[in-house]
Amino acid sequence: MAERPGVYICSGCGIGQSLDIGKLVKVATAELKVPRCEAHSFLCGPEGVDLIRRDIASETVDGVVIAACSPRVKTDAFSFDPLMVLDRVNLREHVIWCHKPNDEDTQMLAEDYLRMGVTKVRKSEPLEPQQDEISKRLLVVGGGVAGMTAAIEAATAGYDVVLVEKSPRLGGFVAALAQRFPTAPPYTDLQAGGVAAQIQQVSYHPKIQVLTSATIRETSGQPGMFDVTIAAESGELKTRVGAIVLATGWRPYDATKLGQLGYGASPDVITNVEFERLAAAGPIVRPSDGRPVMSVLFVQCAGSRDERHLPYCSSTCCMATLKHATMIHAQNPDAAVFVVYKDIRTPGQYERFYRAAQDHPLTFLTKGEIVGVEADGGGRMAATVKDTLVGEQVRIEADLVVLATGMVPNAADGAAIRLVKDSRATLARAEATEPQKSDARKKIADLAHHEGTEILCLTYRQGPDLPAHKYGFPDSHFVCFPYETRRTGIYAAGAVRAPMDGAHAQEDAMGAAMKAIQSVELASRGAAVHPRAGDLSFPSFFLQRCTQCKRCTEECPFGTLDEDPKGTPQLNVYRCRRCGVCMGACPERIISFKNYSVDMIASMIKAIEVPDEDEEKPRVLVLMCENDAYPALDVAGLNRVHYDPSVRVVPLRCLGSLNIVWIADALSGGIDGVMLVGCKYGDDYQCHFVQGSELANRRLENVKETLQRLQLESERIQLTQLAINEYGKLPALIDEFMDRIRDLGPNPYKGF
Amino acid sequence: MTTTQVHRTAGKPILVIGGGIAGVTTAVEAAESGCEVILAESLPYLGGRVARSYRYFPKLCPPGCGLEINFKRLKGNPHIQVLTQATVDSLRGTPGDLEATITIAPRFVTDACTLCDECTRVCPAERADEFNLGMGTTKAVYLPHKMAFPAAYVIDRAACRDGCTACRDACSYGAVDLGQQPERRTVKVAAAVAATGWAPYDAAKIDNLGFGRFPNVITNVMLERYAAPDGPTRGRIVRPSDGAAPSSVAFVQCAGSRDENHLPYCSAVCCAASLKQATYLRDLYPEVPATIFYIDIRTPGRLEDFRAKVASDPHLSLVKGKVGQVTEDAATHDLIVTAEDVQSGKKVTQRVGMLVLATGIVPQTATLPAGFATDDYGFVTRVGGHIGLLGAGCVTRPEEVSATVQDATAAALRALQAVVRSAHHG
Amino acid sequence: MSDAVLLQPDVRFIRSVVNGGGGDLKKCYQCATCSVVCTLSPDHAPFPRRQMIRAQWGLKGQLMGDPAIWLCHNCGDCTTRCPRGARPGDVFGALRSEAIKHFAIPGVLGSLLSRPAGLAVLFLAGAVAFGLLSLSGPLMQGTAEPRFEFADMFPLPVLEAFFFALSGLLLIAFAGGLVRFTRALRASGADGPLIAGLIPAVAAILTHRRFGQCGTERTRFYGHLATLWGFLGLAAVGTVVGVLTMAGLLETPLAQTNPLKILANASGAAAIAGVMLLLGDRLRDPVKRAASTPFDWFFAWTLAGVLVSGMVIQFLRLAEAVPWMYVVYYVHLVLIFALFVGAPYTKFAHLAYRTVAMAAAGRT
Repeated sequence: MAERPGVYICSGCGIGQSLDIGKLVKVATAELKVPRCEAHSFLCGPEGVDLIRRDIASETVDGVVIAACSPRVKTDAFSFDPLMVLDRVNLREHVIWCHKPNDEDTQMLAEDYLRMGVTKVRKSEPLEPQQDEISKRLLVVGGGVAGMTAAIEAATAGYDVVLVEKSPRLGGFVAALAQRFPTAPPYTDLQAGGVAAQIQQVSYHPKIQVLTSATIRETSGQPGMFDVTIAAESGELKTRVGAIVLATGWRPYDATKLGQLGYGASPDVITNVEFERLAAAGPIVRPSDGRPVMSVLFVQCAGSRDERHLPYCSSTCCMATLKHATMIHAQNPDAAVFVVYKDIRTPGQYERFYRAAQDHPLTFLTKGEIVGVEADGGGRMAATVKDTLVGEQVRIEADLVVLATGMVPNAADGAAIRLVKDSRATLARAEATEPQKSDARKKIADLAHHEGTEILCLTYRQGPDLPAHKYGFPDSHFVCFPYETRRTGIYAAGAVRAPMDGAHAQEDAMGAAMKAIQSVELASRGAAVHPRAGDLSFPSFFLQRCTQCKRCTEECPFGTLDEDPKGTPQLNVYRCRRCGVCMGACPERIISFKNYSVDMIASMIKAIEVPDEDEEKPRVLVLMCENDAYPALDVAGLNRVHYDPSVRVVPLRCLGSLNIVWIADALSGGIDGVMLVGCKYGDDYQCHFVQGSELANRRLENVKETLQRLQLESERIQLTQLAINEYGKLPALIDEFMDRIRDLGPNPYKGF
Repeated sequence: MTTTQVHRTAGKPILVIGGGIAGVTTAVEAAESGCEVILAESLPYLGGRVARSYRYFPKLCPPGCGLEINFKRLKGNPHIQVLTQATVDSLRGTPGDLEATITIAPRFVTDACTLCDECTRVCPAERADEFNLGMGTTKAVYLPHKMAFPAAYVIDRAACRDGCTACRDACSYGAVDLGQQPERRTVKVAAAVAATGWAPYDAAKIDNLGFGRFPNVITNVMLERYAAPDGPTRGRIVRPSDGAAPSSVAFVQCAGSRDENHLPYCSAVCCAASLKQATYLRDLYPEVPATIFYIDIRTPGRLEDFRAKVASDPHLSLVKGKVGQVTEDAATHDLIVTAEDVQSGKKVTQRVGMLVLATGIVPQTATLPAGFATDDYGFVTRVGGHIGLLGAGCVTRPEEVSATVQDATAAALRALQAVVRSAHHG
Repeated sequence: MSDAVLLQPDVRFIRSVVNGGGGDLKKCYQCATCSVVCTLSPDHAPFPRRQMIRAQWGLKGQLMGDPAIWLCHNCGDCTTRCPRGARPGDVFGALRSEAIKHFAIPGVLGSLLSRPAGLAVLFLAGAVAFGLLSLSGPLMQGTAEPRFEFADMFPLPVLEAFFFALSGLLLIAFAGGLVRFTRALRASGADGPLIAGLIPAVAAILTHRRFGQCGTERTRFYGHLATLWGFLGLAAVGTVVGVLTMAGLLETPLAQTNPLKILANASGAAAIAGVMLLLGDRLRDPVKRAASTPFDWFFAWTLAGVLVSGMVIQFLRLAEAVPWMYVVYYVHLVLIFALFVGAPYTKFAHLAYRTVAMAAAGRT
């Protein structure tokens, strides 16, 4: 608790000309009884800042309220001890720039914001960073190019690494390659394959411990202190690591599902992976009779870009086929190579290889669609192709057909596995209702194929592995943050994250290794990782009042909370991303941060002065996502766009931290309406805490009951999805809502 | 079990050249791992090309959202020193021990600036708005854009009237210093990362597509600005010739890319970008027909979903065949585009109200000091040349934002390794 | 899938196109820029994109009867614009020589004369033939005094017999080839009215209307036009004079003031100017020089040789330069021999093939 908040009001930037500063000072001193309140005409100037510094140094104040511009600007000027309690009351962007100057309503708005700011500081406590013995050792799972690269590069940066590979040998898929795609100018010549050098490097690096034929039995704990049990040849061993890179790579799509492309019909129809082995083994011969191959047909997108198989593009097959064509002609310039494609995809400098590879008299490419592949009777394979550039319906005969099959991630969907487990539990529960049971049965049936696929075997309540993104890739959902993870300290890299070739996987592995390093470094300082990087706060639980409802453990987007057998949440602070979703979920309101709590926001709401009904001054509470909606409102201010001054904005870390008690408090306190502005949700959600605004929306369902109990119209509450660049719309949205509230008339609970 | 303590602060800082998404990412990722970072951007603000984009594909989310988070990470991090209007003149030394000389052009506005905006009110001079690619103007003293970071005004002295001091006189905070001089700094750094990004290929060089001759032929980067709410038209996609809504729009893929006469490589992002821009069009005009003329549609990985989603638009058609000829109806300024629909084997001639050239990515190395190794097309080689100068993002290869961020993070690790090395041996 | 056409690339054809000037054929990635920038390419059946992939796939059958390869005047617009550097213009040049070779009767001559060695043989044959003839000519036999009469060089009856026999054979061969070509054209769906189509086709060729549509290449346009007209002029005068002298109605040499003589000289001058322009164009531009094949060079140089030697003879005769005039006359005749005997099998044939193709395609 900040007992002695100091209030510093800036009258610069026109604030003084638009507001009665004297009255604001009086609110602070007479009404709020703060021990110290100063107004200054240039608060962010050296003199103003000194004023604040002196008060802090002399311990005249133990918390600071700066009533000036937006907290998004002048952060350098107003940066003090990061552990100290500080609030920025946004008198400029949110008050004078978008409301009538020297107007009663504008003044009331400013005074309310001041009340709310002081209350916030009074309800906040100075932070005490978490301090523990943090392991900076990294675990890399998977010994392919991605895994080995992650291990080598992290070790080069000075970090100890333990590398776990389930097969007896390192090197993974790339080890089997005779040649690799060109990655250096002029990008026209294949590069030597193999990974011998890397294997050497990994095996003899003093900082890398390699475990082959090893799998993970269990991973418990949290970033900085993961305890991993590994089943290795030498037996079971336990080790502690700080972060994990998941580089388990990919497997080819199951070609037996590609019967219509002739796979299985003849030994002379093979996959591109099988072709790699064939080519590596020496002269390319027909599997069926060992005769030299004089013609090969490559079928692109075999299973990829196909709703019935893999809807996505596997990204590497075009380059692989062009490489194979080149390898064939290097061996036998008189062999005919046919390629049937949907689109040739050779991005960036790879285009140069496409041009070089197609420039052979016996390379034949066409766009087209395979109708069928069968034996032509004469011991060769024949494909019927339609919609080609050389005829509407054509037939191509070849000694060998190679299916360019796509990439399937070697990943386990932790969320799905968890769901199966829960469903089994439901079936086992006597008191479970029949609808619940049938739902459970359906889930088990749908997700059965996930059983037994565990890789990391996390002891997390939310499942034993990373939750999978679309099509089973444990990838980030965010364009701008490809290493965003829902399991703090665990980063996927390489083809397990998204379809990519070896070169890109190595680049990717370096990035993931960097994120792993970063997570242990931040943990060692007790700080959060992205998106609230550096945040030193963390939630605490008043468990005496916990009812084991499990909402927090289920709703945490990052699997931070485990459960004891009774279902009581157990915090793993280093997994926490400080979004406050748990705090919003808790019906008992027992979860709080030192500088962010249910009580704090509730008190800020109570601090809003609600005029009597007859004054005809409605009051509306606007709870806003601080990363997107709040800056958007700032820009509205910068654009000097005006909107109704009856709103009182409270920024939230995430709309997911919305606790419905706030709404109940507001309405029972006479507030006429509540507007929630959060990020877009749905498939392309923009919330950086995964589904904050969606959760808030679900919670509003419960509010409906409260409203009925209070006999209030449900229209008094509205959740709006807003993107940060929609600042043009925001003022209008606010005004529309205010109009509706005015139509509904005042909240009957005013004055109670 | 041993844990290695890396005494980074004992190591030299790393220098990141370019403050776009690649540079900003390299900087924050390295700094959050304990590196000291100097981030040098030649423009007065960070964010580069993404700050000038309306939406990202495939999520159609605003770049400003991720930038806001990254800027928050920058603001909160004492290990990062941001230099704007800064160019790195030279880099000398050996891997892990480089000396960089940096010139910082005067901003003429000091840190005292409060964004009160009084200066622009009184400023009598105007300049071309580079943030909007020269479409539209700003005052000579201006805030680069509404969400600019650093949030501070800047004066384009070249645009000022002789002897004019209006802004200085109007500033109550003494934030205007018209006498500011360029500042030269020499710093020791462990590594330097080129993150200078890309520039769109000069569409005027593709003379058969009419850019520069016909007003309604625009480029994809121009369309981004039109669509953006802070763009020259405040988000309205209109014809430059008459400011009217286009009756129909065609997109020309590979405008310069995959072309021996222009850019021999594929620019990798233009296909998804045009599909994205087709959705901008749809948001504004539910029924305006659009056509994308392509050679191969390149939407790797899960971008394939995006292709399928956008292609399902009944008013959008994708035609395999490159536009080879563009003429203009002088009366209406409509454009007549001709291509061969390769799948039907017939020529198609379309009259469209607006033509968008999907111009490609050209590595921007002009602002880089000597020493960076480049390939035949001017792309910086990522792993570093003879003195260990690194690269990240589109200056190393044409790639989408997420790939850029990914190898910017990788570059941060390479830089970190250099720091560790320099910390260990001197 | 019986209705599916079996694709069997003709590898020898591909290699022959690649070595015959279409060296970058395989670089084409089917963007179809060429079909659009080509000012001659029709909307309903654009070229050269479709022919490019057929050539890449060695689908000789589909290409030989395709009029499109003759509708191209090799202006090079497609080659300039091709983003891949596949040089469709040169590929079409190669395809045209392939067609001439393909339809040639007898085929053996077609393939023989498509090779430099074969062309050497052609010259040799001419040299020997005229050598032997001249040995039995009045001059050598001493039965005639050297005067300014070329006829004395050869035994006239033998020469005439030889000439008529040879040209007869050639005419049959040429006609035969064209018939086979026409069948192929029909098979490929080119159903323009052949006879009726000839008139507009010839008109179009004489005026060079289509050639004129080519964006670039003005030099080649004028060069080609002058050569064509000059050549036709000479052919006409030659025939008239030949017939009249044989009928004894005309006494050669003609006086310089004779209108026929004036026409002949004018035509000769025009043709020489034209062919020089064409040669100069090929020689100046290094790219074109590299892209030119023996097939191209033979035709251009032989034609130039015939014309120039013809002029020189006239001057020598006026200068009464014996025996030089006889020597040059001999060379002149050998060159003519090569040109004519080669006509159905060398680039010379394009004159006829293009005419027929344009008629059949109904595109004039």
